[in-house]
Amino acid sequence: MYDLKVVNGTVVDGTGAPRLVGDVGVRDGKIVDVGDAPDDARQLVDATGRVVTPGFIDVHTHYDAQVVWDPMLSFSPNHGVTSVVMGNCGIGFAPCRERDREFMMELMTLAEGIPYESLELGLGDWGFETYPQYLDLLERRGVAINVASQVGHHAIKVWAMGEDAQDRFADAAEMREQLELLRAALRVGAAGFSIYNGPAHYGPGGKPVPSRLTTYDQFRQFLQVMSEERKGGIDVNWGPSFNIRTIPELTAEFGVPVNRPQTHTGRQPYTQRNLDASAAFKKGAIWNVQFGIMANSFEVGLEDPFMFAIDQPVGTRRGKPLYDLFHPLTAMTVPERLATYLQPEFRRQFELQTDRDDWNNNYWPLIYISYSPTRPELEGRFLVDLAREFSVSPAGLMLDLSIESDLQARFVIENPQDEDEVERLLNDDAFRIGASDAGAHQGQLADYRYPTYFLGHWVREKEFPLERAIQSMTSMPAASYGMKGRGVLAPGYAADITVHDPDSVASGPLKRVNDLPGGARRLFSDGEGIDYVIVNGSVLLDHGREAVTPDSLPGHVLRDFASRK
Amino acid sequence: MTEPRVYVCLDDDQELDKNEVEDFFRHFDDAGRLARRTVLPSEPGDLVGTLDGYDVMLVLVGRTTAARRVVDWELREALSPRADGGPALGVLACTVDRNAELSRTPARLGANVESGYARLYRRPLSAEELWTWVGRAAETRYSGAGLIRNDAKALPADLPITDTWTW
Repeated sequence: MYDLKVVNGTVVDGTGAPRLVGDVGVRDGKIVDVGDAPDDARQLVDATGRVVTPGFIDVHTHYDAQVVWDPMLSFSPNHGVTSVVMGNCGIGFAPCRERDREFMMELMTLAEGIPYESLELGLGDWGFETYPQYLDLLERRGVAINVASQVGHHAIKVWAMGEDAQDRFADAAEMREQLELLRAALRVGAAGFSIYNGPAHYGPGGKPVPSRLTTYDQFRQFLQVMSEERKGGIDVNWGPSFNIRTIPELTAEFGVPVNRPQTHTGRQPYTQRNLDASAAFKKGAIWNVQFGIMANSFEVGLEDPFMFAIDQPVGTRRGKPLYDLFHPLTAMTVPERLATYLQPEFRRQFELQTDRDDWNNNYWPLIYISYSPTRPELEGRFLVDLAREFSVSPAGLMLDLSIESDLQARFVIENPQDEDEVERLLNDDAFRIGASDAGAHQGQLADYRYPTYFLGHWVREKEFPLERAIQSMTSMPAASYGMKGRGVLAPGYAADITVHDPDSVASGPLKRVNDLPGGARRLFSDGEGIDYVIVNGSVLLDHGREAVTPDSLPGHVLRDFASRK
Repeated sequence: MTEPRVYVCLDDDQELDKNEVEDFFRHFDDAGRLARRTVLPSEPGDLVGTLDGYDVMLVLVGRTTAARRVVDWELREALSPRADGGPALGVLACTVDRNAELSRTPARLGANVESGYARLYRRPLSAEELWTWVGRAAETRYSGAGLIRNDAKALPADLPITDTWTW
């Protein structure tokens, strides 16, 4: 007798093997039979005309705080996700001393766009300081889907150095403490370590985030601990110490898998890096570069202008962001920002600094109005077209729409992809779908919906092979982190199962909902065509409706990752 | 208490960080309080006595600083007791790039950062911040003398710079 049986579905097992029509039998949270499942079951799930796959695994999320107040980890399960990896980009909330809580929340707000008030209300009295206490808390409270947590470098550096972590590089004693914290976290179940070496993230006071202040030799010391513990991988952003030259050398020396950095398509230097990374992988580098199937198109507003304040090294962006003009605004309150935008000199500088070839050719043509409460008839129109019609500058129009809406107007900066290059990456084992940023920038980004986008746009519309698509969202990300017994439909594996309708699966339209703690906004998209989401053998979502109670959440806090040989 | 006298040690013999170096001095040396070398020494001995009268050495770390023998020589001299019996200079360093890009640290500097004698900062956001750090370094020359690590031989030649030094 099975506990649950999914019947008459087109089964795609996640390994890349050809599909088959059949059943999946589940008992005690595990898959027992696939294809031919002869026993009766207490619960039947009819998958006639549907595709049955392993649950999807999102390896790049920032649910570290949200998981405390929202064990559903919405909205990832709506799109078929059954496991997530948190603690990316060097950031997380454990370990964190009580004295550092405000600092770490502010850091998360500035680096990952999660409103401070939401963090403060949602985390409440926290209930943890150390990394083991954090994992224990999540287990006590329960989770709807499976969560794996990496320990973030910011967290351990701030633990060792306090707010000095943002001003300077650690000395030997401070490094020893960080290394021991990393070792301890790995031993109680961290999925790996994340470190941020890129140029984009700033923390409190407009200072580079703590992890950016790390020497090459210190990187090596972290890798040494990872190598000794023989578990987990490292998540890292591109930067001076982790680059196309050093990653292959470092993975060869330490044997530690690198599960990022993030890459893009259709522009240099990424295209060349992609070719180099692929070549390095084929030569044996333990390296999986991540790319976003949805390309991280941000919906931004001048209420929070961080996208304009990024200070990128030359060559990594098509248009130079306006660091000098916008960076001072990142430390201001929203009313102060509005007052700044009203100054004629600010308008003059904004118009002057964006009336250049890089902006006119590469930036402005990609920005359209997504939300304009005062002039809704303009939504969907590109700023350059409207600016031409109204005989104004794009910058002036953006300012006008923002000011007259009390900074509520929103603009999408499209991040176009080269789909031919994306297809090459999808077929190259060196690359992993990732970079969804689920849980971060929730008022600006909704790439948590990538599975339904992938299945609708790529598989149905572009006829990308279904088996490879499923493999890239299941067994491949599971392998990146050594997740034991997940990501495949096979006897003995965890019964994490997603059932979708191939004819209707799609990302639903974006809606703005104010449901974060404190009423902050986030972008909601429903997963259309996702019929069932099953976690560890329990139906979590039945056609989008929650099928569990708060005291019977089926997710696990994952602590056991495969050792590297 | 008088303001510490600061000697700036940097690699000024290359182009990679030229703009950042000039920008640094433009932002933080409006009062002309930051001294720097005027003549390139040809051997370590040329530096003996040249840092007398300074309290603190500020090392500007750019993309090739760690490769330069003259940087090592100046650090070696700064970390040595003064001829008049006074303590070694306090040492601090900061990245010249505001993105805190740092591929390599000069080895002698790294040893003293590890020991806790020197501190390696990001580029300061303000002159006030810089002078706070300078003040701490000036104190450490007295309170932390036992942490100095200066036993390595002087770098005999510039190190090769490979493309792994930048990204």
